[in-house]
Amino acid sequence: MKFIISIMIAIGLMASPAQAQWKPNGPIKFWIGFGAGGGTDTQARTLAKELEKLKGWRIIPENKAGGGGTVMAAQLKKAPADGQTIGLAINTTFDFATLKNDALSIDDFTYITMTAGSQTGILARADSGWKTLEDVAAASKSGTKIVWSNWGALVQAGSEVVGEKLGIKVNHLRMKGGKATLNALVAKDANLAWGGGIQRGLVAAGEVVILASAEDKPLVQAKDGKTLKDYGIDHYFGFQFLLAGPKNMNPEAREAITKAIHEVLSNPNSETRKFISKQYPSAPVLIAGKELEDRLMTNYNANKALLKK
Amino acid sequence: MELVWEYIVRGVMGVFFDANGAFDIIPMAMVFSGLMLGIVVGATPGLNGPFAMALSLPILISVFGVSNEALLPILGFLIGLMKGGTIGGAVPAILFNTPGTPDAFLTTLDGYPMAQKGQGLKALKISHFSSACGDTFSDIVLFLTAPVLAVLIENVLDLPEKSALIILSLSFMAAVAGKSPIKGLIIGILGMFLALMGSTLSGNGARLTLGIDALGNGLPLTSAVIGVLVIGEVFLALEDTARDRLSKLKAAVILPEGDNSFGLKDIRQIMPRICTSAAIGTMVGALPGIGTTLAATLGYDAAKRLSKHPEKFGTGLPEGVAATEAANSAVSGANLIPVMSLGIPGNFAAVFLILAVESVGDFTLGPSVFRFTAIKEIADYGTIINKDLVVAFGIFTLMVMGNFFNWTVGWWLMRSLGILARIPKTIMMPVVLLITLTAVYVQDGGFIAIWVVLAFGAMGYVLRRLEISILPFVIGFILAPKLEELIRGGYSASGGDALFLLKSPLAVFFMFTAILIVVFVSRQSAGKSESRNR
Repeated sequence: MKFIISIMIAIGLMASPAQAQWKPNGPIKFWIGFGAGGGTDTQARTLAKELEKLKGWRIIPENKAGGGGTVMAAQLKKAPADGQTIGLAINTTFDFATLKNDALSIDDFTYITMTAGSQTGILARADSGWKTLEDVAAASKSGTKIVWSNWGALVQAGSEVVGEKLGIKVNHLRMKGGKATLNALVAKDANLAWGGGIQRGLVAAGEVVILASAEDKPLVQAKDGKTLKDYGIDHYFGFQFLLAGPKNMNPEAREAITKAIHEVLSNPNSETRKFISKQYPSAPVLIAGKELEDRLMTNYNANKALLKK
Repeated sequence: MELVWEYIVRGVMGVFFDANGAFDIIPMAMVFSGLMLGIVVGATPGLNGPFAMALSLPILISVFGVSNEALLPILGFLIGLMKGGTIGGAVPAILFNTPGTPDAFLTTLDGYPMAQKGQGLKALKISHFSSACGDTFSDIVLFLTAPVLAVLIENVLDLPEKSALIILSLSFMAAVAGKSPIKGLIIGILGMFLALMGSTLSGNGARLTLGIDALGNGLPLTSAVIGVLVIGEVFLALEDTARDRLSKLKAAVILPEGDNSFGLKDIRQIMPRICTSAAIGTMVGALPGIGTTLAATLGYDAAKRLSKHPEKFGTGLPEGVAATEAANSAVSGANLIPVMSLGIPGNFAAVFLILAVESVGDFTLGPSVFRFTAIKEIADYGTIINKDLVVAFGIFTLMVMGNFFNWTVGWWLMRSLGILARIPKTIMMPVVLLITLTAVYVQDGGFIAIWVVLAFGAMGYVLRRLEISILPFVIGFILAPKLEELIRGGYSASGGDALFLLKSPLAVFFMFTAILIVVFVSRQSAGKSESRNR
């Protein structure tokens, strides 16, 4: 009996390290769905360095910007599914953009893990004097032209929903990326803007104010502020950073990569964790596996319904 | 004012110290080596500043990466090249009657006769002094006008006016850059058309990619521009060398030694010409589309007209050398005025600075840079500051440094460069081709970059053979996405008013001027060719 147990333990010991010790057969291509120098880029490159250090893998980050991550996704879809090509984008790349893009589907990918969540909210310049969305509605009713800058179709739909709910007549201004969206507000090309977290410095400086949070709770910089849910809008317009691979990705690779990333992001001394906690407070978002898949599917269906409206 | 000063100090410090406060010699070293290489490149016939900027950009990016810290060293090197290129061009122009860069052509008129009289070294000294003066003057104008202009633009211009202003500068460029404004216009529009490839702001997926996923974000910008500019030139040079294989380079002439002193008396003699030329060069540089060559022509022309003895020009007059060199060097510096205040590149050197900024870090050029956000320290949080503005002052610092090196050591390099005029194109062009292909392969992600660089090279070759200026093509290609964003924005922000461009008087004025310029210039050039035919 003892013998059998020890054999079983031995088999178990042999089996589990084999699973955990997935080793890439060469360098891992780590594609970044956004341009150089931005928040996603910094996050991905720091993460890549720490993963290399932790696991001894060779990781090559490469920017493939465009179309809110979809340009990267279109290439990721066709990459080999051996776990040696992965890409960082945001959840809307997969659960929203795929609704409007014939070349992509939500089923084309293996979802590995989320890393961080946004601080998405509705912003105005401090000199506008607006403190809440009601102020904006009042201004709109008394004839002020509302130009609302956004970075994509989903948040633009959000502007529509908010406008309808509060009786604000909205003119949209589409910009390329979060920074350009905020710049349009500061440059007075717009008087309302969406912000996904990049507004941090300007809010702290008192140049820009947060009117409402589009996350499920108030934003860190406006702890007493309202959320869109308080206005009866039952849709989140925030986003999470999401790592994905091609469809049918090697499950061992998926597990090994998820574990390694979670290990890095749970370490309080990790540079990536520090960056995320500062830029996308309060802490990394480590949702993976089935929970992640379910969450993306829920978003996908909600977004589908939103587009139909 | 205190705030402005604080930003300037931080900008300057950013160049000399790294994020941790340790002394950082790299940006300075990069300006220095860029300037030195620029002078060498300028002195080599067939190569010029923008050419070298094109080749260096991908190499610099692969060395320094794309993080925000990489920006200043990379820009430092490029700015050095830009400045050095116009200075070096005078060396072979004076010593061998062969201009190193096209804008040094007029330097040969008085420089070479001076060399023949045994005053070659003196001519070089004059050319260095005038270049450095012109360059410094132009930089000072940039530092003073760009922030003011940017603030003005940001406060006065709305989306429709900004769109109209870009259309105006494109049409201006098309009209003045080549021989025929209509050809310039057509080729500019072709450039804009090619830029339509890739993702749009609509979020409906990429357009016009011919099914190639790698083109999802459009044609790789750097590869395309390098293709037209560098590879086109290489193709042309290869064809030319194949054709005149038998013609030999001019044998070096041993020149007599004459009076080569250069003192206060000389400076007093040439200073008025330097001043007019520096002003002309600066003005030309600030306008998009007019290059250094025209600046040199105008500067030389003005010097001749203002002179008491215009008939002596062309016989080895120091004023002639000074006027040309001050004018062409004054372009670099002022050419950044439209870049810094509008985000519109006016010449090739500016194009590569914009490409560098777009590929590296999250700094963007344009009027929003000059926002003087109050600087605040917030505990547990960090400093609130407009980082872009600090970078902008950092860039200005790099330019001042370039001037400093030029004044102090530029001359020593210049006098020892005579030998470069003799590197045959049969060796240089293949080397350039090899470097280009390797560099774009590394930067723009593999073989797609190679195909793009070659295709655009073929295009650049054809355009050169047809004698059409490639500048409108390149600028159209670069500005089209920005114009599309502005027009789309202006349209939707107006609430879907199709006539939004014609609702603001200022926008109407810009549009009207845009049309007027093309009509006026094409009439003029038609008149010229008619009188030539007669």
